[in-house]
Amino acid sequence: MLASSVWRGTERRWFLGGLFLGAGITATIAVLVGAVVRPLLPGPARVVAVVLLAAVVLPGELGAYRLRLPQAARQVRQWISEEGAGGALQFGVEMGTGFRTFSTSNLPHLALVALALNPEPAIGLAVAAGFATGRAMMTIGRAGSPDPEAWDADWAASERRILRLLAAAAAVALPLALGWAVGSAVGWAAWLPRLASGGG
Amino acid sequence: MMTALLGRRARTPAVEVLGLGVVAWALVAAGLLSPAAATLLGWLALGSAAGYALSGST
Repeated sequence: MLASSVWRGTERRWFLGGLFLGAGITATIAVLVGAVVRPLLPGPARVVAVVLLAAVVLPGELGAYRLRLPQAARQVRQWISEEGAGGALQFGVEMGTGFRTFSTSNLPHLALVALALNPEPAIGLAVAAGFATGRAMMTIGRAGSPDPEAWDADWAASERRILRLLAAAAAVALPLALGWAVGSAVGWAAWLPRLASGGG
Repeated sequence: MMTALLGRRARTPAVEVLGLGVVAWALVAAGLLSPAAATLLGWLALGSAAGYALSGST
């Protein structure tokens, strides 16, 4: 695991803080870029674009086919984690951006594009917080394991199953998330409240 | 406590992220969640799924 060496008390906290900072930087850029693109695409077109991307990405995550979307494919220099709090923070920031890794999943692409096509500050905050929390889950779960090496082995052995679970989670979450865009286009009163009351 | 929440198995956080989405839908269906809160929970869950999916990356 990439962040295996950043598990000591104070340094771990700096690392975790860096994850949130890094995710916030990526989300801010996505929102800013999306704000430029937004006038070019009407609301329904943006929703359709996200749904189409999800229709391509999610079956791949579920194992229907192998899909490799473009990625930076660059690792964080692990030795920076040995430079005390500052190194741990930098390590966290770089990992938190999501761009300093060899990704085995396309879910980050889906989240990033969905955010860029729905560039609201509150959405950016939610996606960044979620992304950093997701990355921190590995750190916290592994550090809390009585046998971190066994935790790594468990992840490797369960990877396909975990990615399928996460794809299912994204499939469940995306319609909720897009409610913002749909709601903005047709008015809140026409969507979720009707759903909540069983009116569809 | 956080570790207990996440569990000792690598797949537990993935189940929890899926559970977050399911619970959010249940709250929406029950009329207990405002539209804005529901959508933000959706984005939070989507981001969490994306973040945890990178855990096996190198």
